[in-house]
Amino acid sequence: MERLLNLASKEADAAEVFFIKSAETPVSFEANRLKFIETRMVEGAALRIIRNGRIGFSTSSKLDEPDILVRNAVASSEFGVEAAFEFPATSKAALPTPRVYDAGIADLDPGYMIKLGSEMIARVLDAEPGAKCDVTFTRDVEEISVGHAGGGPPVSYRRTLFEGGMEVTVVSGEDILMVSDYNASSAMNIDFRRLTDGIIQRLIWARRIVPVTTGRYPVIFTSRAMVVLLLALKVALNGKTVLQGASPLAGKLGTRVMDERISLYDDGTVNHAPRSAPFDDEGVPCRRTPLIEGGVVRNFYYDLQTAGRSGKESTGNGWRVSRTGERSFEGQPTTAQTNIVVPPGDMSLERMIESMDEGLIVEQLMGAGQGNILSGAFSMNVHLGYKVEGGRIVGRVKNTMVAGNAFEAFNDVVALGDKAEWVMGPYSVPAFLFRSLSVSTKS
Amino acid sequence: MRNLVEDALKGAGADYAEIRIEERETTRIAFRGRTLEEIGMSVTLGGNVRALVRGGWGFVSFDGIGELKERVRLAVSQARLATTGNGRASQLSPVEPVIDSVKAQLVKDPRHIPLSTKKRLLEEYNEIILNSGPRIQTSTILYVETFTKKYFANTEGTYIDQEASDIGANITAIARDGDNVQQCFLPAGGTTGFQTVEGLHERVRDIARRAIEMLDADPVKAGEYTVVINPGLAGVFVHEAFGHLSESDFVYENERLQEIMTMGARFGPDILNIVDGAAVEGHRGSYRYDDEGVPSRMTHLIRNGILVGRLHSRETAAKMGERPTGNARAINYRHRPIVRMTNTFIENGTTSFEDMISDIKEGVYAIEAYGGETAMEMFTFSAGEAFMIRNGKIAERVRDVVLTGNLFDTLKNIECIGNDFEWHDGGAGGCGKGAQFPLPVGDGGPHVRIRKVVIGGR
Repeated sequence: MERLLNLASKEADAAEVFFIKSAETPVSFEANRLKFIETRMVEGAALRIIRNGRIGFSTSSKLDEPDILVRNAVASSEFGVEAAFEFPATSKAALPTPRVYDAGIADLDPGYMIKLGSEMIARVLDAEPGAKCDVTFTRDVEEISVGHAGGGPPVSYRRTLFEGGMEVTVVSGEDILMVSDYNASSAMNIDFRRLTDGIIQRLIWARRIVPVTTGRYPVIFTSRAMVVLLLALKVALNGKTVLQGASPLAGKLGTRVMDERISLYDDGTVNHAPRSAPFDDEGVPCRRTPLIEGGVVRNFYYDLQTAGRSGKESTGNGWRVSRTGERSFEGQPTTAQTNIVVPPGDMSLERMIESMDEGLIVEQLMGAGQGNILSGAFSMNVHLGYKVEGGRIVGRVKNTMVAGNAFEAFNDVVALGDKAEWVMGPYSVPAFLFRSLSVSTKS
Repeated sequence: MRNLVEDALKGAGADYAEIRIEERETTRIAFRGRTLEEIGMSVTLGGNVRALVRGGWGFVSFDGIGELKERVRLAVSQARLATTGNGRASQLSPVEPVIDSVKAQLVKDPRHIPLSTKKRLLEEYNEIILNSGPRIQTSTILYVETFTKKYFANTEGTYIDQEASDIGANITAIARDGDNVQQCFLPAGGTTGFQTVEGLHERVRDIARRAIEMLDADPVKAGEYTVVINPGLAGVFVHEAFGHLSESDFVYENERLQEIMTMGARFGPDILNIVDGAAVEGHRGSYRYDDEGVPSRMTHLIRNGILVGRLHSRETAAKMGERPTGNARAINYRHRPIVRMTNTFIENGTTSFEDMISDIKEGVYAIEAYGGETAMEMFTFSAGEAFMIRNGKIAERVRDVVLTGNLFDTLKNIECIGNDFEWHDGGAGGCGKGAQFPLPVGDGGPHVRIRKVVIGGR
């Protein structure tokens, strides 16, 4: 890294090197059987320079040829975007120290993942003998370094991640039922037996299909379903969307835009949450940024370049992703979330259900991200959802759409759940009970 | 390189093992309006080892090419572990070992053209759009150029090195009038060199003009129509709506689909022929050998309306007792090969475009696909552009044309196949499956006339 920075600083006014070395081990079961054990090792570097005020960028996995990196970065800087920032002078002392490494994951034997997967599948087949289960566990160990020419010594960290996901398919006649779940943590602290039991409970609730008539109903979004509904909010709070003038929340800093019981934080410092780190991929310290507090817009989140162009400071949200959406040294830093935390309210899920004369519980959704996300409008297929009558779950609904506007819905909340569980990886969100959403179904 | 990979495979201790090494240079340029959003180059060198031991698979991918023997050992030990309790062992269909070297056939090698020249050309196109009048809101241009060299060796004695060049450009003009936003899109590029993106000035002018015209079009009236689709839309239709069902890994897992996809079943009229294959020069899905070292070939999927073939890797071919077709592809060295399409097309027919529309009283002419989604047998496509057909003539422009239907009914409702086959190759996009996107594919077809297509207005 030192050599590359030295080489680059001869050609450029400022330079940054990002280095990643990671090993990912997925173990996959398909249709109830162990199928593949893989190891994906990634090792590469990205060089970003500022030369005559313009950004140059290049990446390489040929680490023994740093001159190619420098040459390509210089060539691209000729036409590069104007830099609206300076590289931060990151010092180790100023960095937060969230726990992101667990030796128990680093030393984990693939045999453990095989055993865990087999047990989970056996448990599901006990309850639902005709089920087909796909299970994937992934153990990930990564080492990240960021250095800036002229700054202090490069900073680095090691991070582990253990991810597990299960999708269960039950086919009976023309009916295809799919129930899935996923979670991730940088420590071995996820109870996958409990996750499996949750799937089994949902399979049992889903056995009976019940009719629903088109109309407006109170609707519970479980924590998992809330992750989908938060998408519109995440996009609207992204500094890049705000800068482009496309966010409905642009110009609303300090304004109350939703129910005052709702707060939302981007927090890259939670111990063992999957996207926590001491610093982002630009070397900016991670932090807890209040985005919404008491229903009021407090901040947007930024990477260095977007912050610079907006006259703001980076919030430690500059991350590198590849064209295919994976964390990678190949993509330029862009604005992206860390962990999303929505603090809980005061009503238990049981009481929410009891409070409904007639309503819906939404668990899994299809068609997210289609339509005009920016406006907050959503119209999603209820991939898995239950009908509630007289305060009790009576069965599963089919061919049903739930529609509305996320920003309007966040202003019409009956209650927030009293538990904010970590679900789907980087989300800590309670269930929400909305007063009235449009539910439509095929007649 | 050959010695390096063959040495590493020696004494691997697996029933089967292979090494794939890949060296890739990528150039990306992106404009949004006059803002140059991205310009950069990257080089990657890496590879993977795949090993099969008593029916269990191990796979290791890595950057750089150091410690190959160590990587092979790891893949083999993982394969051994994956054997545990595996009642449905994976096997490979036998193929003849091959030793070959394939060079890219380039008219204008993009690697010898300076970045400044590439940027200038795209700027010319961009200025044409942005100077096309006040109703043009903005433009987007994405240019992605890759040059790849792959080395492949396996324990059966196959050694292949193979070069490939791919250039894709998406040029989009966006017009706006109040809330009415319309866009028109030009996909360009190819595998034979930089000339495939040169000289597009007239066509770029044309998309800007068309985007503006679309502002004044009325939305189509929802209903059931006889529809004529142009070669571009026919190609996307056959890929999305039919092609994915021909990928055997998909069929194998799904008993219900397997019943539907029985060889010999009638899918369309006698005039319908559908083919997939990489063994045709110069298209985005073309290659000599797939990522398992199997020679490419042309596979008839439908001949005279009857289902006659499907696409295989060595593993799915062995499972289903059929021949491998050279369709095992991986988007890059970080992924294992899975069954994918290559160039998928409807073969030429005999009807001229004039004859095809001459007896249509009221119909829709749909041009290019703007987007599409398929879920099993159901599909929807948004047409990029559309016109009404009235009394045998192309009439007024309409917009918001979404075609929807059931694949099997729609194939049976094909009435005419045109005699004007065109390849539909360009664009920086590609096909996505699993986590592997975008994979370069080609598609094509002539004009096709289909009756009773449901068009949903918005």
